Amino acid sequence: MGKNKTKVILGHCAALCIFALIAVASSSSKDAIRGVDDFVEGYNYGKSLVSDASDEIEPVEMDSVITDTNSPLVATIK
Amino acid sequence: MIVHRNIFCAVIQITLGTLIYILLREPVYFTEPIIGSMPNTPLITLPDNMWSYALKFILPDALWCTALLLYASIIEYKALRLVVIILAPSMELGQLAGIVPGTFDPVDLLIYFLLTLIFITQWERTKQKSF
Repeated sequence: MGKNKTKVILGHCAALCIFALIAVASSSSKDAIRGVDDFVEGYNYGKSLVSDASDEIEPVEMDSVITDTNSPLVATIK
Repeated sequence: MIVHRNIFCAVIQITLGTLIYILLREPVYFTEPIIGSMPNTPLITLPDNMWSYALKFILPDALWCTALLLYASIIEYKALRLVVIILAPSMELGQLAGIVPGTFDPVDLLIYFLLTLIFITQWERTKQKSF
């Protein structure tokens, strides 16, 4: 009886772990960086539409957006 | 019989949630092995409105939470059932605290709270009927 109870509880714990794993696996997504990615992509796309500005403004990378405080993009946000 | 039915419903809900992730969301860790390495865009792009947001971001979490609560209903040990019930809000609060990876969304927390409330109300009603 005791062994059965332990088995049942272990089974439930395993199921609980699966549920937690699903939650972590689905939330460990690229969603967190999606905003920056979309922003950079949109910026570069917009820049490509304005051919006159292409000589003045360099295409940005995600890292440069975050680290380069002199970036025109950051200046726009400021 | 109820146990099997609840487990079956939970599996169906998890499957539906997974389908939403595969078709409508940007690739995540668990969908990448299934659909392969893809650009950071969803397979089906929905218009940017409230309904799409609900379908893409709220429904999968609600399905996961409902599956969890259905599973909780078949657990006969009170303490373990309580652990299962508080798992969903704990994960969300863990995201807020930075312990669990992911983005905290207060709407998710509200949905979990409402679903848990419905579950507990229904659970009490079912228990009263059976006595």
